[in-house]
Amino acid sequence: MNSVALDTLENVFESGAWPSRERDWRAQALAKLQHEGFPTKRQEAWKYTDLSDLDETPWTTATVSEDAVPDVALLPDTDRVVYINGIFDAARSNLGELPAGVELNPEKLTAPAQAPVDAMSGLNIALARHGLYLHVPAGVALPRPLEILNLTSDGAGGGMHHVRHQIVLEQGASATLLDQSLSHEAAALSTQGWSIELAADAALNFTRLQDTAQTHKAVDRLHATVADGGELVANLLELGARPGRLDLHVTLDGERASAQVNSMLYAIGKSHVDHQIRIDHRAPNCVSRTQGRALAQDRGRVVLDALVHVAKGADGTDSEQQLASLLLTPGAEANVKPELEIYADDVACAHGSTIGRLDDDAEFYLRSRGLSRDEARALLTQSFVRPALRQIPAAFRATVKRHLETRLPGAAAMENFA
Amino acid sequence: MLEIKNLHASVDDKAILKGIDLTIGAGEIHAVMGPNGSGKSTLGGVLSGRPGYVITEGSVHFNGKDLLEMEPEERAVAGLFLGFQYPVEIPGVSNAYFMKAAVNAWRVARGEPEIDAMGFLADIRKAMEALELPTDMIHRGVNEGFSGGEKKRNEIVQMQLLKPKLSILDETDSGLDIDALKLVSNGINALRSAERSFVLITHYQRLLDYVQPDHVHVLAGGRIVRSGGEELARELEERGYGWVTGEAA
Repeated sequence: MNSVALDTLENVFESGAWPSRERDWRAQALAKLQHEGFPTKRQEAWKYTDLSDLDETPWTTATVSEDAVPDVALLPDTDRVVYINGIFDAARSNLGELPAGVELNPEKLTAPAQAPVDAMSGLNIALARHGLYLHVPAGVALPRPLEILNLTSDGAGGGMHHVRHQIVLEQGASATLLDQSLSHEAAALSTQGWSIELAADAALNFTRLQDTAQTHKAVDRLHATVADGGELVANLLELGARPGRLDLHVTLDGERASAQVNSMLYAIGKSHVDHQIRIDHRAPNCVSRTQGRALAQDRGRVVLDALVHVAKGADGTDSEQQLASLLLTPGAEANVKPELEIYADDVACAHGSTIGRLDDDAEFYLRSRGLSRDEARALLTQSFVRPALRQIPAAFRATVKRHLETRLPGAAAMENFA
Repeated sequence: MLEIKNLHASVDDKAILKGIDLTIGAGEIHAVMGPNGSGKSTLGGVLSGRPGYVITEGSVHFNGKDLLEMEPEERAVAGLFLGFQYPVEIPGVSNAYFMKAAVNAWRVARGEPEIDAMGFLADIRKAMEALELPTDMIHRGVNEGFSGGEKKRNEIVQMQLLKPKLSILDETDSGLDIDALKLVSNGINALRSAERSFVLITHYQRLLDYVQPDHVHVLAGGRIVRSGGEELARELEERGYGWVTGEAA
């Protein structure tokens, strides 16, 4: 295969000095990437998101550096692990006392739970050096939200970095995770992988906020399995990068497991953001809810594919999917696709999708009462996205508001964004 | 207060207003009546700055300022209020948030400090109770799920909170039962003062039984074809619009 990138990746991998016990699964993951090559638009899952230019860049590993990293308004009262260019940064991290039995290791990588499902996850598994390993024992609740900061430094241009996290919540355990990916203007590629296992009755509220520069490429993947009575809430905010891509695959594996996926995409300028969401109902009486809100402005492009798959025998499935997109200016583009595949009999599955513009009549109504055009549009946009923001934990709301305000003139005066 | 001179306006190249002259003094109530399609709602839309109209001739001054040069929100905070014939439903934006933002926009324009949250809630509750609207609507989406009559009453609530200098009420009376009509009329009368003016755009004379106008104008074919006192409204009720529009033709 004629690819500058794949040739250099071989060298990058060989110079990685990986521990010998990791070599096998890393080599297998790299082989997956080499065999498939970078995704192209000919693949259904990549129809709207073009990664072909990855081939032309001789990617090197972004190194640990002391150059500028993005400013982050640090949240009070959270535990924090910080990665800069894929490497754990102890100095900027902050870990308070954790309950007995909780294992938290920001540098531990174990063999992946499953073989890479595609070329990009192959890249992530082959080259991720660090990542969060979190194991919460049965019945334990993490006392504070745990923040993961995935930062790309200014000097990372032309480089790539990878982190891979593994999170296990045992029976009845609970946690709140806040994940942020930020960068300056560096033209870099990052991949982030999560493997999440929720045992029976475990509960996780996971929020991701990706707001990297339009020169950045973020290609991330999250796999979660939820056992009996477990509850996953995933708030996914894709605001930057070109592309900013997240594949989310949730498997409801035990009876009465539930997943609520709230996806908010906002492409502005030239950014291109893409969520591929798949929820598998594999056990009876599970519940899933998907709220998708996609906004596109300027030359921005949003892609949102959401599939609910109900396996044979997953009777009593209760699933709803609501996807809506809003084009804020001419020239913006949204590709939104809801999908249902049902192989069980006794199910209640609803889905719907809309695409539209801000309502002129509503805008005039607000302005006729004295709100400026910007305020009116911000207020209407806010009301549009609100359903996807309801489950963001309190600790993170101000952060989310700040990131959205920069895109919505007039929003600064607003109270609760979510 | 408001001076309209030779106002011509069109929509999609179709002339709707064809030379309106109307002067409204402070403290006056003017009723603008007329058959369907006469241009009544267009007049309200043009005055409030609704997009979609092209002004082809004439001028409008509001307290000395060129109204047609102002954005809709600038007209609003200068003291002009349009009561919509079809108030818009805006799910996801609460009545309370919307109206507080509006009240503050007006206050800031007047150089006053923003209203405090408690004071505002007390005001909106009082206004809603006066219009016999359930106060739980305060926290619902703007007009969301309101009946037609409730939406019209909510317009009057907004007018009460904003205390406009000039209120243009576009068929606020249509679709109201007699009890609601009385509530709306009480709301208008409560605001009446030597400084405030009203334009009541209406199809029927009914509202004018409760809100006594100083002047009545008949709009037909985009022009004011007749003006008079409140007796004109009663005469129209008895004899129909054909009487004046025929006369105008």
